Amino acid sequence: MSENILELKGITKSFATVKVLKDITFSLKKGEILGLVGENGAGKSTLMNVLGGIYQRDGGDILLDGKKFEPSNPKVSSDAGIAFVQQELNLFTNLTVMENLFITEMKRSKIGSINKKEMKKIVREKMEELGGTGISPDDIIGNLSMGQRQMVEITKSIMKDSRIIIFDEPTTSLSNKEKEKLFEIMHRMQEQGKSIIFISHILEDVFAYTDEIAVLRDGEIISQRKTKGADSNTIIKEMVGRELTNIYPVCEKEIKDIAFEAKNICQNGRFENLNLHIREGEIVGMFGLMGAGRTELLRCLFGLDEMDAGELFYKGKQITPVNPQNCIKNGMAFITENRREEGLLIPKTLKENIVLSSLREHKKNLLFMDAAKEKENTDKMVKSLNVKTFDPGKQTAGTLSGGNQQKIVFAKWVLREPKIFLLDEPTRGVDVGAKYEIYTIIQELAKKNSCVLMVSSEIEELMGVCDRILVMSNNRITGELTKNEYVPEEIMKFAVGGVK
Amino acid sequence: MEKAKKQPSTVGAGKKFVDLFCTYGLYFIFIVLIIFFAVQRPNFFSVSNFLLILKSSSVLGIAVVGMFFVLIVAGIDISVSMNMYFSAVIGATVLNSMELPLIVCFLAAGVSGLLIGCINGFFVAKVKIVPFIVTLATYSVAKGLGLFFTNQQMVFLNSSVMTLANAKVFGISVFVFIFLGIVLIAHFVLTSTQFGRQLFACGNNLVGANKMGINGPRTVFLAYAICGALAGIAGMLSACNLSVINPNFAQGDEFVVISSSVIGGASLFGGKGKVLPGAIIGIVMIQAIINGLTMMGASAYSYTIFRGIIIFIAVMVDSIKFSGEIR
Repeated sequence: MSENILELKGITKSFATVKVLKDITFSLKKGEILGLVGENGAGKSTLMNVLGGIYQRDGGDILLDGKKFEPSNPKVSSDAGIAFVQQELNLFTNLTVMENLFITEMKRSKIGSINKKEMKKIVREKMEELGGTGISPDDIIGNLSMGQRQMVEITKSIMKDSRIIIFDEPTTSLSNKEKEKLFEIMHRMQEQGKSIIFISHILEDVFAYTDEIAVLRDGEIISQRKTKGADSNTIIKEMVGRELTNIYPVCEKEIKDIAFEAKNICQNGRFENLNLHIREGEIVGMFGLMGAGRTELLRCLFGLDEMDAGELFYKGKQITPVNPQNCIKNGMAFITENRREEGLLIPKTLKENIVLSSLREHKKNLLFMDAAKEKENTDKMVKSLNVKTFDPGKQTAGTLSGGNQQKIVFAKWVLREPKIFLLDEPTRGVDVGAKYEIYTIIQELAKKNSCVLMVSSEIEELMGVCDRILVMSNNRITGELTKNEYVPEEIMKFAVGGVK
Repeated sequence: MEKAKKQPSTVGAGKKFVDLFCTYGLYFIFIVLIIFFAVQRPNFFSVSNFLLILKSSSVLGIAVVGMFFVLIVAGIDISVSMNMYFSAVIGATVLNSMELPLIVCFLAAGVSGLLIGCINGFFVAKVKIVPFIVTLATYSVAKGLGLFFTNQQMVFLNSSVMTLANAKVFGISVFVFIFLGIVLIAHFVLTSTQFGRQLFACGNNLVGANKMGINGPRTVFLAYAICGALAGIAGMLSACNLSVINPNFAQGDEFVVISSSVIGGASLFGGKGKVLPGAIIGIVMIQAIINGLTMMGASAYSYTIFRGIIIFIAVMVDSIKFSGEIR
């Protein structure tokens, strides 16, 4: 456990004028799991791309086994035994597991065709090495669940006797069970003498499964220390560069009468007579495990998916018909879990994104947009939501970090001043500091008498932010807890089937 | 991800019909038309007519096979028809002026088609211009060049082509065997070679493919090159079949080729398609209907209308099916 397999010394990298990596120095020991934590935008992805040979570094040395290593392209890295398990799965959904694993170097038979038999055998062996995955080499990726796809991705990483495996946020789309399996596999790899870099936002996991923790902030490694004995407050402090007295903002607000009501919501084959209500100024959390139907319920309430029966009321007035246009008109807002695909126009500027949902309000006359008003409102939003940008009129949404992107999604809706917010995993893929800011935004919304329904997979987050928590399981609401009843175990009990 | 599970259940009667239509609708329409033709013109259902349909299918079928490659990488090639025209003109010129053996003419046509394909491929894969526009441009250029070389006159091919056009093995035109040979080779390439599987990968997710070390631009380029070369050969074969090249040779065939491919299971969204049997089914279905219309003595304009409707339905079905797919 002593010898360093990988050492980075003073790595720097700039894009145009922006220095993304300033001074990266850390080491990875053989057979060790190193947790790499840092806010989004701290430079983790860039660093990994440098190691993977996708970007060329500007300066500094990389030592592999004590020898200088030049990852000039992805192939050099993978040949040297560095493998990646990406956050966004890079699998071809139209191909089989086996084809995905061998896509660049298929085994050939004598006549030059691909040797499926041999490849399948190798796939089975490799999957066996991971402790069996229950996936057939002939399965089409498109038919697999997210967890299974991740297993394929992991299998891909060990195809070439890799010695260093880098997991980039591997748990974001996994259920708890799948997560356990993943950590089991990581442990197994470690026992086989492989070294692992584990990048994650979830500190709990990092503490539970790593040997060392390195903190990355603003393109610099702030610290690297043994996990044993490390203190999470210190780590968080180092990540954000400031002391967080409380991860959840406290906000004095008044909860008034019931404002939003959903009655007898039915969706063929999914929901039967679901009822829920939100009071004015109340933040209602919704917890549930994968597939509990949380996202589906939100989509249904917003009219994105067909509602077969049921009624929505806001302050006694029925919202009908239930379709997105009408819901928006009646003051509802839906913030999707999928911000890159559904929430933002990625190649457009922040300004364009922010005014997008209220274009009509930004018209000067019949023909022209009111540029001054657009700018004024954009600046107001950027300022009030604390978006980090050099110029909202020039920077595109795609260049922001996850947290700032999410703020833009909020800004887009907040500008319309809706009264009912449906939030689906609002802090997904967002770092600790930005999370805090998003909680603040949510609290502020409630303070202005909005109704908030917030879906999340993190119990602590819901306990910290919400006034009431609903728990869903198997497309039913199985539990309801008010603030003084919060106990994680209780919430989980409801989520796994619960008391009827 | 919970969104992946959103399709099951919520199926109303309307949606069921749409699903059913998407899966079997085109075959249903096809069968109804065939029965209609057969009832109206008893000759339609004869062995000789069937062989004729197969023969005419084989010519365009070769271009369909090429189109499969392009569609699989999520591209499109509008220029096939004019590529056929231009290449046929080149092939015919070589044949008529130099008295070379027929195989050389096919080679010449194939190479000229390949050249157009390479131009398409270069601009689509390397310069990254939208394939629709690139191939629309080469369509126009190829057509212009063809008209220029022929002075807008008909080109008659010398009699040696008749031997090929009339050649039969077991009573079946050699065209059919040429087509089947090409289908088999293409099927082998697409299903059993690394290049073939990479074509599918690029069509599914080009960015991902590049990240994974696949040479995306090269793969896409080759798809267009193959499509071009096959279009050239199809053009020459078509010229042999007719033994004359009109100024309006192959006009509108791009529609036939693209819709045959889509009917045969390729998708305009890429990453999908089996040339065996898809390419054969697609082109035979369309040629059977064209043949039926001809036997009915349908007006010349009706073909254009028919082509329009077929490509519309095929693409619509493709789009509806696509929205339900997990990507």
